[in-house]
Amino acid sequence: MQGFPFALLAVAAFNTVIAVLLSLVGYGGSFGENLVFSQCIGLTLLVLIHLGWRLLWPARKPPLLPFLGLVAVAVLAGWLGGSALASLFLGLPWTAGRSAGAALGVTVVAGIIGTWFFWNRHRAAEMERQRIEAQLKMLQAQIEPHFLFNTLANLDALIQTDPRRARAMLGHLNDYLRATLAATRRERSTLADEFALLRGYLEVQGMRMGERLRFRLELPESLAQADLPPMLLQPLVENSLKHGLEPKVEGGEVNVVAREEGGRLVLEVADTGLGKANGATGGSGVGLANVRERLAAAYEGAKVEAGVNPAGGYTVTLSIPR
Amino acid sequence: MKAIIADDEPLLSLSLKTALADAWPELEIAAVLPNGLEAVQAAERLKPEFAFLDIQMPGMSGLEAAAEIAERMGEAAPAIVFVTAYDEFATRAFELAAADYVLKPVSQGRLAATVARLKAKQHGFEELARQLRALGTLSPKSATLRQVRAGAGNAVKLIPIQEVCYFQAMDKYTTVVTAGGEDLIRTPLKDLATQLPEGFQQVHRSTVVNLAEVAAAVRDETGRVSLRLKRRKETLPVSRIYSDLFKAM
Repeated sequence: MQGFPFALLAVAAFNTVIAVLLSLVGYGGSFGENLVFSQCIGLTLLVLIHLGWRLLWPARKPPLLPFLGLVAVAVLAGWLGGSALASLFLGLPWTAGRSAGAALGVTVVAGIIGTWFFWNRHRAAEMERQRIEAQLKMLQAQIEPHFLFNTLANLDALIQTDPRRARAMLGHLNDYLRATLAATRRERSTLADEFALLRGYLEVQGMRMGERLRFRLELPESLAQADLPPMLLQPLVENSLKHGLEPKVEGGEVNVVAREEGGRLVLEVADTGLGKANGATGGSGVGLANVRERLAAAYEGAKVEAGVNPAGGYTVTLSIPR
Repeated sequence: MKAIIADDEPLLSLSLKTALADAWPELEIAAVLPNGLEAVQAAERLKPEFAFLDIQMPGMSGLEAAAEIAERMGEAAPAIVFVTAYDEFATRAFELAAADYVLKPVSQGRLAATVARLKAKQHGFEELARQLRALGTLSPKSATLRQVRAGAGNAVKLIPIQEVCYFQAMDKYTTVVTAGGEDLIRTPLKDLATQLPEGFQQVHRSTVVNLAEVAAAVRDETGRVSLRLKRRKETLPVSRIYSDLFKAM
């Protein structure tokens, strides 16, 4: 149960509300007495549940049934111990009289409400943590350590020799990382977003590879706002570099072109790298298979064609109905 | 004192050059090369004492270039320092093989330590050969192969691994040579080598031999070693970096 101080405040507030309600219906003693009783019982209950949780399930979320068992025990103990404590504070005789049974009822109801509240809150926090973890994993998969460390090494070199270019490169890296992060958070993006991400990526890679990498990005204004699942093209461009251009001694060119053709959106990633046939370092085809799957999930009738580029190298063409 | 630097990323070779100028002013950087092949040629031409080789380069990797330099230059080969940005496997391998390496981005402190070590160490060819052999055996092992499956028309021939005299690399294919004949398989030797049991030894860039099938190692007048086999007529050349394995006890 995280955030104990928050829980303490919330429970104290809840106890106060109970004391007010009890006084309004004319139950128990004065408002002051009711307040002391409800605080003593409620806070004892909170401390018992919190301790039980820490002791029994130190590192994880408890299973529901055993946890409800703990709550039941804590409610009984909290009612007995809390009332005794309150009687002690107020100098009243601790009598398990007529009002004690009603106090137990109030404790049980309040305990159930409080437990339900905190259990849900914990579950929401847990889900949020899992969501962020999944995002981080996706981000990690997309930003390869090899890419990142090499880029940082290049930036380090530029800072000494050409600080102006270093700043420009840092800007491109920043754009790429920001766009990647944003892409992991959304379901849809636009071609303009995707091309901005590609530009950042290619500028950074261009710094690394120098004259060995040339690239061209063609996006007609009319298609800029077209819908696209985020990070769809980036794996294809990454493949072109990794398997086509980086292993090729003289390097080459990668072109990404978007156009409209017979009512369909056509996206083409073409490189002049080693190509599949010429001993390109054997890609496992995971990137391409992923793109196929994502396209098929997002669009009815989308097509993916991959093959040797007439200019040498490799081309992947995506065709999406508009 | 002369050195060459090879890195396909121009900014990084420049950065290493600048850092070396600070850390080791007496060292002359004789050439900066963009790939492994040119590094081998420059090493032969310039005969430097040291070569700083990036691992991932197009065409020929730093490790391949190092083996090629050792092979071509023998005793005259430079001491090799590997350069890498991020590669868990490579840095671990360098530690295990006690090979010198520099991490990118180059930190002055670390580079100074490497320079001190390079200055202090004797860089004999034997040490380089030992390092390269150690690096060669450090690739991650996969499951041990018991049989080689070679396609023969519609059938697949099963060859027990101990029957194999040697494997010979042929581009992306491998020739499996037994006493009775030869078969071609599609697995590259590089991948096959990680699956072979004890007793198989790389003796050349393109040859892995079954030591049980070796009758004798013969040294010619130039010091080149070749292997005579028990059940095959041809002899197999041994790379210089593996020659030490066949010295008389």
